[in-house]
Amino acid sequence: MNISISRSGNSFVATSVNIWLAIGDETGPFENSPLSGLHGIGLILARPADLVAALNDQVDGKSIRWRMNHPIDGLEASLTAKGPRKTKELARHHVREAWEYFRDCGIKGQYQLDAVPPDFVLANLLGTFRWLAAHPNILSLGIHGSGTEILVDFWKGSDPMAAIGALYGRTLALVSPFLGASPQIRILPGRRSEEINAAAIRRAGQIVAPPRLGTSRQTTSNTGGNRTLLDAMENEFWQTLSAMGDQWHIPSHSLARKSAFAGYMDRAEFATALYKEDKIAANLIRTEERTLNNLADLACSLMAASCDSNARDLRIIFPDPIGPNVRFFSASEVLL
Amino acid sequence: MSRWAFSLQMDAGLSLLAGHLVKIILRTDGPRLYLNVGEAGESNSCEGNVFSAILQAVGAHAFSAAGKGCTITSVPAPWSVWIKPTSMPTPQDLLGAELALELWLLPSEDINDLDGARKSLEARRSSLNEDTREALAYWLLGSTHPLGGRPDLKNGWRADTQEVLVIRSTDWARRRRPPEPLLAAAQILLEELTQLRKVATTITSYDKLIDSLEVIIDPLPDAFRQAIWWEAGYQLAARGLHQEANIATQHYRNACDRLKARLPGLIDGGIPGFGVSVGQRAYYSGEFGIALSAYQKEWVSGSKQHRSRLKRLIANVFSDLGALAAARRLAEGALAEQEISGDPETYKTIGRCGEIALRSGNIDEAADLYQRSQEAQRQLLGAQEVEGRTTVYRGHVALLAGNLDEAADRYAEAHGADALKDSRLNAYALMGEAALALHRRDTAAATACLDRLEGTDELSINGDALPRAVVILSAIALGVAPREKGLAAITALIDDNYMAETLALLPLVYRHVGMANKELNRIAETLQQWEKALLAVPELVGERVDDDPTPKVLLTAIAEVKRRGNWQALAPLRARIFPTNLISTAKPIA
Repeated sequence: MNISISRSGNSFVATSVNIWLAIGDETGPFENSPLSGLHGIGLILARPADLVAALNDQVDGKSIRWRMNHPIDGLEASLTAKGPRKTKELARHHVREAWEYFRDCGIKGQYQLDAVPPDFVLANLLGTFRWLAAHPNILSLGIHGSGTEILVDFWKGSDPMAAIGALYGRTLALVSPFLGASPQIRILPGRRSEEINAAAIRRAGQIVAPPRLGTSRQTTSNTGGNRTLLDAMENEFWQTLSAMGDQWHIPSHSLARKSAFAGYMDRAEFATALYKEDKIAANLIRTEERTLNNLADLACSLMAASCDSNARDLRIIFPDPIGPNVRFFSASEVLL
Repeated sequence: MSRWAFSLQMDAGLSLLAGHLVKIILRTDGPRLYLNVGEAGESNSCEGNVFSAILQAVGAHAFSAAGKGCTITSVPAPWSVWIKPTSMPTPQDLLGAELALELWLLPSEDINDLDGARKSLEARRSSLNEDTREALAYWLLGSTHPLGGRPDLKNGWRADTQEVLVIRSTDWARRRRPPEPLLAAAQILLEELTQLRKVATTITSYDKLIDSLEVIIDPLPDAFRQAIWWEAGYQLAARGLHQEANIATQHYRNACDRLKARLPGLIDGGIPGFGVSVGQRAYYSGEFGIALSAYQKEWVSGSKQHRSRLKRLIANVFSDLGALAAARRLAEGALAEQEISGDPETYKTIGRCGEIALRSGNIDEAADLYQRSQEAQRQLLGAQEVEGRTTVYRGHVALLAGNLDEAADRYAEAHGADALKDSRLNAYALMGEAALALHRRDTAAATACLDRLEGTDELSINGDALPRAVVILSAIALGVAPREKGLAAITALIDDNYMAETLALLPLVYRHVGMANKELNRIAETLQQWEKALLAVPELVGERVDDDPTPKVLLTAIAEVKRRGNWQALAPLRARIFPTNLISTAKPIA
């Protein structure tokens, strides 16, 4: 499988602003109790121009942009066969669908990351994993743990949205001192929905708009979950930095803090805010949000595949480190 | 136990962020250090980590270091993910660093830089063994921290060094014979210094002591040399051997310079007693500003070892500067402390109180104090060992009180006492006798004093201009010496910084004020510097007393003398300036 990397040409070139874009996704059944299985968040972090360039990278003759807006190559027929419930999956690169496919097809065994397996879908999945793991300008970061481990330090007030926010905040705080002078981190966490009768919603006395017919879930923009996630994320970000005592300056004014670190869950709001700071970033979010979300899914899946391989009949054996810009923490490593 | 800061580099290990290392500074408490005597180590190779090398070097000289209570601050969670565990300092590192501070191999700060300490010590690794030996030698003599390892040393060693090096005991005797080479040599040093206080030493005595110690321990540590030459400078000055004291003090300063070059921790804190040495030499040269500055540095350096002595020494300067109230307060404070501690120099402080009383015009009090001082000397040294100096002062008191026969007896007694121990002429007794001749208008006696003075080798009375001037001017006042000799004496007095004394004597050689303009200007110039020197140490001077004959008062008098064109304005002061008042108060010759 051939991979070609497109260069932005300006990585780490000194500019007046030092914007970093993060796109995140989570893994694990955060709403289920008791918490079982792997929980965590994964994200990609890069400078906007590098992300734009990355979308033009070629893997086996197909651009990343194309790949992120289609199912994993070879999976389309399988998804089509599953009928309308998988229609949405035909327009995105969702690694979970590949795992379903492997299970359904009885594809088992162990494969090295650099293997070229006979199964076309698996070969393409490994190819995109390799592309991300080897990317010189995109950081793949995350925190993972069992539900119990996550519960120890990240489960803020029994609200899964707050836990997810805290995981994002901790991850980005840990890398922020290395991002050069006065970095401005802007994050788009993965959009979610939640059960309208979730305990956290009930406790908050939230008035939730009725869900669509046939489902008990509602998007978190309507449940108040977004605000909870963002608040928890920002709190955790600054709290993690302040754990270092007086080593780093923590701005006392909220505007200054917002300038250094801000999260958005609404594309339009995010793009508008970015427009004043970095037009490339604003345009990227406005036009490629879905592509970027699928890249975050890829990063999160890379974390799950590398950290939770025992959970499946098909195992991918990753090198250590997985890649030069990949770091997935276990929750116990990064407890406050 | 000291506070330490050390830096660590966080490294994300992500290639995109390569080169973006983040430095963090952590602070931690070092261990509480104990230095003990121990078995001599076999190796002095100073290998491995430089902090371990110091611990090895200490071991090579039969000492050991132990520490308690060291807590190394860890990198706060979750940031330790970016730190390599091997980059953290170990308790052993901090023990070595703490030892380096204790031994002055590093300067001490409120918070000490562990990385800087490592680099600094690494840069001198080749001399670390020798530097550590020197530091241990100095530590044995100059530290106040206890020496552990044996019950007899725990308190005993510091009590010994205090008694010999600070209190300057004359009857200390060693109680143990340690096998450790440095400790054994230090103990012999203490014993020899004590012995030398019992005899009339010259600079050769101390040269011989160094020769004998070099046989025992080679090379002789500079720490030992500085202790020897400090003592020599002090003792020789006390004997009036100022030229030899100057040489000894130069040796002392050279040894201190070498010590400071090896032990940078001594540079800021200073070597206890250094200010005493510098101040004393300046005092005897009439450089009162330098003397006060040196004493003040010693005062504030934090070492209380020399405080009582320092009070007396500052009182000496103050009394010569006419700041009598301040001098009295300090001298009486020193006396109270020394009487409690049984200080062997108590008699000197009583004598200083006597001189302050004398300068203040309290003749009866002065007589009483000098008598007490002499009695204290007799008890301390034995009647045969008492020098004639205090007897001379008692003669001056008698003279000023008008008891001329008693004064004559005292001066004769002083000559007799000194003749037993020292062949040199007691110039101050001769000075008293000349003044006595003036009071008695005894021209023959005045001539005899002048002849004796002029027949004496100048070096044997240290070329001291003051007694020489008093003898000459007494003879001039009685008309048995030419005025030219008086002019030369006045010039010598000014050259030796006897400004107040010269001022008091000027009317004896210059009938008209205008003739003395050059001298008056030079005196005024120096007095202005001395006034500034007093103003620079307000915490020592305390409240100024207007009545004291300070430089400021003398300057006012000079201005008045110049304004009036006669010496009348000096009249009230001439009686208060000692010892020239011995002759300036004599009735004018008709």
